[in-house]
Amino acid sequence: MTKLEDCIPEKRVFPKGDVNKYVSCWTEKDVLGGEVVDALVVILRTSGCSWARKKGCTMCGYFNDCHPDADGENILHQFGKAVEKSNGQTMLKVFTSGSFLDEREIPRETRADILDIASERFKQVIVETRPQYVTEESLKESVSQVAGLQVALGLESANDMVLKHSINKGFTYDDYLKAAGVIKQAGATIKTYLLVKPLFLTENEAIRDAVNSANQIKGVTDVISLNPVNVQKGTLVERLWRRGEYRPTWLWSVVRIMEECQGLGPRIISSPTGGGKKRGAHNCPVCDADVLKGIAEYSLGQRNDFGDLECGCRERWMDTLDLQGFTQSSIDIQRYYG
Amino acid sequence: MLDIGKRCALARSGIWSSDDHQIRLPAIAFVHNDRISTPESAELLLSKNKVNSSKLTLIDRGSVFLPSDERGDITISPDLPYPLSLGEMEYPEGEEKTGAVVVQKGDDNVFQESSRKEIQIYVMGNAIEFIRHPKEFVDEVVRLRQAIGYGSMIYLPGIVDPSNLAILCYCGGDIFDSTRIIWESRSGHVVSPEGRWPPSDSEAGSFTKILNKNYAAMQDELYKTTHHIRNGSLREFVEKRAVHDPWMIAALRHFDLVHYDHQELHFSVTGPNFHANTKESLHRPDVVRYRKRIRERYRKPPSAKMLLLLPCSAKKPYSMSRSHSLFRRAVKDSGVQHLVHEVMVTSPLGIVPRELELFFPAQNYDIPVTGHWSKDEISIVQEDLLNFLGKNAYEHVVAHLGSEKDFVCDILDDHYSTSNGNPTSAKNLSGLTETLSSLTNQNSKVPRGQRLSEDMTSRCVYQFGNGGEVLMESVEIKGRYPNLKIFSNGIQIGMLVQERGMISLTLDGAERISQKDLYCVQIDDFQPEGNLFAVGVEGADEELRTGDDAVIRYEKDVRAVGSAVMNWKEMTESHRGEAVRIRHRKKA
Repeated sequence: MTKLEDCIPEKRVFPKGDVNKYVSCWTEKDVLGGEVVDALVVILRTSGCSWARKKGCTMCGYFNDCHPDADGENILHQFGKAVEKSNGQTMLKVFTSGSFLDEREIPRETRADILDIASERFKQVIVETRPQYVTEESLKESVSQVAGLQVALGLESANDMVLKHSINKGFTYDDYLKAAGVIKQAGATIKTYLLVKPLFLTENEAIRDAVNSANQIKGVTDVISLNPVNVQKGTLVERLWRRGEYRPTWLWSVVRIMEECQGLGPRIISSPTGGGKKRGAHNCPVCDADVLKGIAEYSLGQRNDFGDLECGCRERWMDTLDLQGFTQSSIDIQRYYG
Repeated sequence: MLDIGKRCALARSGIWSSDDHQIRLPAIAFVHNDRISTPESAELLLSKNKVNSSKLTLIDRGSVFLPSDERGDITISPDLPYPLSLGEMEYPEGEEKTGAVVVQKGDDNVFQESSRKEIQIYVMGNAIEFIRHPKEFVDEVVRLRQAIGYGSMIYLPGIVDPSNLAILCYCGGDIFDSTRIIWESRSGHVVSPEGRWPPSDSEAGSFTKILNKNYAAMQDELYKTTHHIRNGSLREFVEKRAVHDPWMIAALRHFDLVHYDHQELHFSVTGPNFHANTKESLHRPDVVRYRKRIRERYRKPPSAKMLLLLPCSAKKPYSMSRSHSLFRRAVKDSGVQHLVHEVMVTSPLGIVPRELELFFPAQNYDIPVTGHWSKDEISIVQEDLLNFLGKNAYEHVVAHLGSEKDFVCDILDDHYSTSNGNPTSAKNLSGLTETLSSLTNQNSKVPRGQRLSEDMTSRCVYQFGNGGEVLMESVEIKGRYPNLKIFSNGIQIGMLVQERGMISLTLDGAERISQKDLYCVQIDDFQPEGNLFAVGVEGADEELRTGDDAVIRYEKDVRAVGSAVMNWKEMTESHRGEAVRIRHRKKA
């Protein structure tokens, strides 16, 4: 008998990227205080996610963006290079391929240095972490440096069955709630990532799981970011996707989740990685660009509904919602029926 | 409650009763929701929610991740749909499973005796994945039927269309659904038993029109398939359908070659006439069983000293054909016909001894006769003939053959070939007569009665196996072929029945067979009044197949005799249904 974690491919040896070079850095739009602003995004090359080093999650390939030798000095150097590029952005998202608050990834002093520099230039700083690294101490310290700190937690789903038997997340909904309490207590805001279409869920279940999860955390989180699974290299998701046993979600499903979460409380945003591509959330080539644009606009508060979006592929998507479960499988039915 | 009326191979037709509903099997569950209409005549619906309908509805509660609270007439318990490629997975402990359950790779808990009582339908998990894996599909459906027995239904979700319905039933499927044809309809495909077609101009662009057309095609195929199950002719129908898709041919071949035993157990020993038109028909389990029995059970009549190999005839039984009446006349003219053993060389049966020409399928098959023999057919004949000659010794071998002459004579040692060209030509026939009479000087003649009796012994042994000759101890044969009756001291023991192609026993015959413990069905101490039902069966001889003569007895006391409606396993395991249709019963 095989356990799910035994199905997750061994993480390959970390690639030897330049230990002094960040993974990537760009500017994107976001919303702050009700206004659309520019945000600088920096992905730092660290030694990577502590959970990924064990077995990790079924969909996560971020271990590809790590360097085993990256120490505090290297990371600070990377951050310095990135900040040089800033030109008036009011928001900073400083991410690693793991947890910003994991001191084995970013030593405490380095974290303090980064937040010091950030606080001088940006009104809001967003960092990501697994709940286990959220401590009263780490949060108090960080908030004292950056008043506008937002901590992003990758909850993925508020359903423990999904966390355990689909994602192999390594923590429970309860762990998330505890961490969220600490964050709030310290005066920071919370952003929560919800995964759209974890492995083994049908398209229909994926929508319901995201909507259920959003409803469960509406009083906890300030922002909900819908993250459709994109097929990353070296993951279990990729292995199944190659065989036609997984299809990334339809963009229509993201739209449906946003519609159903309307007026929930927290801001709902989504920026589907690889959207419109085979490996990312996609509908069909005819409408992908328009629907992605609609989702981006909604995320920035520039639209309140999707009533204007239409495409012939919607019926196919609705068939998927109606029929996929009856096959008693979660595979990509399009690829099987041909 | 399940009442199976007819069995054909692994397929069943019958009635599934649930509350006030009666569903005819095989059945198609039609997906019901507010976007997709169901056909008027649908008997069974498939839905995620309770449906406001008088029809029986199968409710799917979804996966263990988000099981719904919906309940219906019958409900599919939540599953965890891991893809097959992950292998045998560990499943979280769920709620107790009842009604309909999804069977997943490695999850054998659902087969445990304790859960089986509550489970009516076993749903093949990942069936859709087998669209790519015909062999694995067959293995899985065999595993399923072997694990669940006969009292529950097998539901094969998401894979049926009009082209494969017949083979899916043939493999053991009882319930299917409309998922795939809805999907095909949305793709603009018209589906038919011959595959997919583009829609006509008047249908193009209309999902509803295409869907309705596809529903009609599905129901038409269901009607035909059900007919062939009832008629006992499903195998031939499956062969016709299978040629449209390599998946089906692959599945059928694998089923035939790897799961012969499983299939053979479920094949009736009687049946209607059929065409052996395809390559696949060479591997029909009833054909293969015939050939195996010739090897394993059969022995020639002892006084037959000369083997005469003859071609088959289109008309069956062979002896009723024009060509064979000419052969028989020629043999008779030799004056030594009771020393001659006529054996027909044929495809796909290999060889058919004259006295077995009535046994199924010898008088029931039809092949396209062109005089061109395929390598497969040639090797069947050669193998079987060599094996036969190895076990049955003759003083002389005479080949009176047509197109099969060369490859038959190739493997014969000393033999006489009496035909050149058309075996029924006057010249060839007189050559045959002369050869036979010239070869017999050194042999003493055999009385007709003795040979008649030996031929009947051959039949008894073929039908009942070793020990079957007990029927022929101190008996005489009366009647004119094929209506031959076996009498002992004026009491009939059995008779050869042309329609069944075998011997039907009387109670006295059954008594003899019982002494040898052959073909017996054990019951408790009661006297069957009507027919024997499975609930009354305590055990049965593992040789028993549907169609066989079955001896019903309490301990050693014979109570009745009749023909089996189920194989030994089904009548032993089942609690419902007619097991043996009784012909004679002991008077109270």
